[in-house]
Amino acid sequence: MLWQTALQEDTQARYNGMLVSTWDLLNSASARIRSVNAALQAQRQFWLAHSDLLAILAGLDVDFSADLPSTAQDAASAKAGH
Amino acid sequence: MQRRHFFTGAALSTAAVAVASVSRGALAALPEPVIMRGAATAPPLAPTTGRPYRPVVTLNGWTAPWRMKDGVKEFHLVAEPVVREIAPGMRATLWGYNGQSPGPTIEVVEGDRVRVFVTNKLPEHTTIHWHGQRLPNGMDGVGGMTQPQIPVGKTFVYEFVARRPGTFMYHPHADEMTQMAMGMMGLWVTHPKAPHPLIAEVDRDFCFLLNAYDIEPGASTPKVNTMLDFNLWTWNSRAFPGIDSLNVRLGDRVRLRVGNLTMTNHPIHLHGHEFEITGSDGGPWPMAARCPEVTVDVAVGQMRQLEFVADEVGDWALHCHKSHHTMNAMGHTVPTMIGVDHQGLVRKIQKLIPDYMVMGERGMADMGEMEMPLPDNTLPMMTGTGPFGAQEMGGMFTTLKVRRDQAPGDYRDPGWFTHPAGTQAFEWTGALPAESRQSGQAPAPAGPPALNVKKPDSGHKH
Repeated sequence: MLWQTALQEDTQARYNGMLVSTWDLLNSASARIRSVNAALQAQRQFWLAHSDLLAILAGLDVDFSADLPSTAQDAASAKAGH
Repeated sequence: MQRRHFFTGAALSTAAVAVASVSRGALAALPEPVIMRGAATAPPLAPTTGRPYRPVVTLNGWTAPWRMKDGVKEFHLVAEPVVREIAPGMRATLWGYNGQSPGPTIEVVEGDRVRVFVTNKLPEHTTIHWHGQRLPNGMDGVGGMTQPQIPVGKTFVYEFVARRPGTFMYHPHADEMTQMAMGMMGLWVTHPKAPHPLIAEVDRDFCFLLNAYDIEPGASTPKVNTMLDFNLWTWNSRAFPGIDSLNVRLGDRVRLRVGNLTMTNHPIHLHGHEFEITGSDGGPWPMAARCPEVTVDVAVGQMRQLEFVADEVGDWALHCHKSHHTMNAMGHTVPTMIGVDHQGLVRKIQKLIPDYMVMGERGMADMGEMEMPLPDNTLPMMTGTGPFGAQEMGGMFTTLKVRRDQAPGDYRDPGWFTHPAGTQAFEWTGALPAESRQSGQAPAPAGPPALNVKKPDSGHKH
C-alpha cells in the first residue's frame, strides 16, 4: 500500500502503547503524505522526461516549455483549488 | 541449571592440593561455573556441606552452588552478556553473571571462608565490590583503587571470611554506571552460625534486588546514560506480570530481603499485613528500633529486611508505592487527554489514520483492557489479568499468596484465591438516595471554571 509506510505503522504501534500522542501520530501522517506526494512528483518528472527523450529519439520537434517544474504546477493547482 | 558441570568440578577438587590463601594452586583447579538458562524462581538450595541453615528463595532467580574445598566455600562467577526475559514477550540484552541478570545469590554462613573466582567475559574490564561486607581492603573490589581491574578474558580471585551475618549485594566497581545500568548485580546472604537474639528463624525467606532499565520500545539494550527517566522498573530484572508470586502458608513467619540498586527510592508496600524492619545491610536492628509498618522506603544503595507473620489468607498485593513504578514502558511526555472532547474529530482523524482510536479521554484504563499491536519486544504500559478482570499494572508489582493448605516447603503458585461467601466487595443494586452536598461543595459547573483574576490597573504603572 502506497499510503501505509513503515514509519506510520511504527508510530501507530507507539500510539497504541501510549508512548506517543495524537499529535505525534498526526505529524507522522503529515510527513507520510508529504513524502508520498514528493515521490509521486518525482515519478511524474521522470515520465515527462522519458517521453521527451523518446520523442527526441523519434526525431520529433519537442516543446520543452510544456514540462513545467512540478513546484510551479503545484502552486498553480493549489491556487485554483482553494 | 547445568548441575552436571558442578559435580564434575566437585569431583576434581578432591585431587587438588590444599591451599590456605589465594594461590596458583587454587587457580589451577577452579570450579566449573554453573550457568542458569531461565528466569523461573529456583527452589531453595539446601546446603549439603558446611554449617546447616534455612536457605533463601531468590525471586525469579537462584542460589549459586558452591564446592567445599579444604574448608573453603568456592564459587565461580562469570561476568558476561546475557539475554534476560523481563516478562513473557520481552527480552533484554543485558550484562550479568552466569547466564542471567541479576547474578546468582551467594549464600554462606557467618564465619565461612569464601573464595569467589570471577571470570570476565565482558567486552571491557570489570571488578566485583562486595557491598556492605567486612573484609580486607584489597578484597573490596574498587577498580583502580584497591585492585587492578579484571581485564577481558581474565579470572581474579576474591577471598575473605564472611564476618557479619546479614543481607548484602555485589556489583561492579569498574565502569560502574554502565555495568549496573546493564544489569550487573547480585545478592549475598550470610546466615548466622548460631541462633541470634536479633535474627529470627523464618519459615520462608525471599530476596530480591530493585533495578531499573531504560529500553526504547522496539529495542532490547538499555540506554546506559539515562539517570532518572527509566521506563522499566524491575525486581531482579523482571517486571509485572513476569515477577513470580510469593506463595506462603497461613501462619508462616516470612522475611523479605530487598536491596535497591536503582537511581531512586522505592516505598515497598504490602497489603493486608504489618511488618517490621528487622535489619539492613548494616546488620540486625535492635528491638527498640523496630515498629510496625505497611510501607518501607528503600533508598538507593540500601537493603531492608521486612518480617511479618502471614496470618491473613488471600492474594495480597506487594508493590512499590510510586504509581509510575507499577507501570511498564510509557510515554512520560504524552499530554493528558482527560476532559478533551474528541467528538466529531475522531472520524476526521480516521480518514487520515484508519487505525486511530481515542485513548486517554476518559482516563487511561482502556489501555489495560485493549489489545492492540505494540512495538516489537515491548510490554504494555499496564497489563495483567486477574480472576475479576484487567489488573492494569506493570513494573514493580507482584502478589503475596497466603493459603491455609500451602504445604511447608511448597513454593508453587496455588492459583487465585477463592473468597469465602460474604467477604468480597459487591455491587449495590438497591435504590440510591438523592445526593446531598454541603453548601460550598456544589458540583463543578459544566463550562470552563470562572477565574477571578484581578487584572492590573491600567493606570498603575511603574
